[in-house]
Amino acid sequence: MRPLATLRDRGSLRQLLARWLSGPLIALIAASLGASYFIALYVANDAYDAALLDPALAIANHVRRHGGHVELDLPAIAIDALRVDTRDRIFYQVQGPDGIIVAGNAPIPAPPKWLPAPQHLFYNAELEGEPIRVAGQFVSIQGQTVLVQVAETVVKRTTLVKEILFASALPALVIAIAALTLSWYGIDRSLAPLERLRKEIDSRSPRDLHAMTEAGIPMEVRPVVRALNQLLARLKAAIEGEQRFIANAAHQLRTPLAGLKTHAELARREPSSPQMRSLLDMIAEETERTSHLINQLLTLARAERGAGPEAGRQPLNLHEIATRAVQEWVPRALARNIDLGFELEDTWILGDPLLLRELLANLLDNALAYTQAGGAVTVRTHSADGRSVLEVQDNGPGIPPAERGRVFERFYRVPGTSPQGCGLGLAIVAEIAERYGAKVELKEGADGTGTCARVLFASLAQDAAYTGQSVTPVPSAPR
Amino acid sequence: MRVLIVEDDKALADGLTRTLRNSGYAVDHAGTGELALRACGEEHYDLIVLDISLPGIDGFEVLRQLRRMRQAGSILILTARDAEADRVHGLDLGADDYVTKPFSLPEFEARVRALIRRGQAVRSPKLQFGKLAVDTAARRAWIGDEDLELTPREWGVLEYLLTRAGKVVSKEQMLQALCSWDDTLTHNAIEVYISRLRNKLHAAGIPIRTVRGFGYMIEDPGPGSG
Repeated sequence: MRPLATLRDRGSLRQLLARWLSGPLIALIAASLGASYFIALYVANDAYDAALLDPALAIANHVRRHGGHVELDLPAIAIDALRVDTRDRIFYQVQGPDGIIVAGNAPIPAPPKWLPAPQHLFYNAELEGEPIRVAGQFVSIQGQTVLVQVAETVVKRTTLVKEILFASALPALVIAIAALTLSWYGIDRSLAPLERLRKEIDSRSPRDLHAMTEAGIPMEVRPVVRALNQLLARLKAAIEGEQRFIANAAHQLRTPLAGLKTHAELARREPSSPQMRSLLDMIAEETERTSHLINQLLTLARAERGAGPEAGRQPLNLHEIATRAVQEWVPRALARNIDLGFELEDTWILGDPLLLRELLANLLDNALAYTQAGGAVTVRTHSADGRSVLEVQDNGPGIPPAERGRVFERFYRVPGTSPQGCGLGLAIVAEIAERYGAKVELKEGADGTGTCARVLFASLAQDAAYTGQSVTPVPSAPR
Repeated sequence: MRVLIVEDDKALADGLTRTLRNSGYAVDHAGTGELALRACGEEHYDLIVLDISLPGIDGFEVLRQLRRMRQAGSILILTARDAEADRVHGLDLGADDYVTKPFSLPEFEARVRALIRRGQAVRSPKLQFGKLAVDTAARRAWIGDEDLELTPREWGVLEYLLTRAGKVVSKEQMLQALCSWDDTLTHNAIEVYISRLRNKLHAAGIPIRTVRGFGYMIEDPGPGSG
């Protein structure tokens, strides 16, 4: 179907939907991971900062004023006990008023100026190029402010942040992948009705113009189906109008033509000069061709008519169809001194008897027209390989292989042949055969000469849907 | 022989009238179904040529009323080629034969001849086929003065073919028509009778055509000439 193909040209609906879904989804996940990082950082600091403040408080308790200066009254062994940690290194520093370092084992940077100075504070800093976390405790000793700093490296904290981040990112990733996968299949599922629609339209024969069903079509696509159905209906009406016009025109022409033929024939029977005689012969001949053409146009219009491929089908015996052609065609063959023979076996198909007779009539007309006087034409019906075969073989000049495809075109005539026919005969055969899904083959005869036109139908016995149906033979021809 | 042509197309009616008058029939023409019914109420016609698509009362209604009037003449209907239903319906209503428009004049004449002959056979057993004269009551045939001395079987085959002159008959049809209770005929036997008849009819110039794989046909030799 064209509209879907156009969509594909502009990027598929699936891609469009996937892009609109996956872009925002990835952005959302990235934002949530960012948020997780800061939350994890906050949680880690909150947990470890309290633990870091404890040694600062312990040290602060042992800061004394001794004489003029401040000093730390804590044995080194006790300080070492406070600094025990399995994963991080811990530093401390006691800073007296005026920035004098009282005690400590590392030059811990002072708190940033912009931080307020409450009782205690926490901040990040760097020590010898390594990031550290610092807890600062202010103590007031006899009016003098002393800052006790305890710092640690951030191994524990980084590990905790990583763990928290990982723990929250993993489910987010799983959810993202699941969402993308589900939406991919969801798109598939929601596009399935469109695909069904496409298949239904693709599988239609060109003459099948009945409205498409809206059942199972999503609400969003229904307006498209409705518009398509309206187009189909208009198309059908236009085609039917055209066919009706052809049928009516051809029909209306037949009575005056019958009159013309009669008068032409009567005129030929009157005594007349040889010139007049040949003129009258030509009139009679042209009248004959015109009525043939009109019959062909009617047949073609009828073959094209009808709603679906199922219209006008009934069980038919090809043997019977061929038998009914005998009365009409044997006298014509005899008039042309052609031996018309029959090799008929019963074989059943589904079809419209009138159209099948027209199909055979056109094959016979063609065979008789292109077979020389004294030649032979044979009609065969039989079953072969589960198919019903209708075959008309002649021993005329044959059709060159290069022309075999073209002879089914309307108004086409093989170059160099006599312009007897109107060029519609085999087009009608092809049209009717197509209507019944039958295959038409043109070959040379079994002995390599002449033409063998073979039409292969689906046998009725093969048609499971109809096997249970009772078989009504075609009423026999009036005698 | 009186013939009524019921056809609303003037040119066609005129052509058919001329044709049949040239063949020696007394021909009347009616342009509508009403006129046709009135004419049939006043006269007896041996043959009525009836167009199905008439203005006013259509051909089917005329056919129905003619059969109700017990019009004994044969009725030949003119139908459209694509109107299979019309044809079947017409024959069901009692028409004897049909031709489809646009027909050829020889075809029309052959149908008319066959119907007239069939009507004749009811009244008079003696019929003429070209040079061949037959007496259906005496079951004998002559060419000129010479009696063909047909056996009953040969007569049966000849009569079957002659009464269907111009039409192809299948071997099966012949077998069914010719076989009585107590005897059986084979395809080969039919071929033997046909072969003998061919020899006997040779002098009359009436060929029995073989339709390969199907049956036989005697061509309509046209009106009797002797």
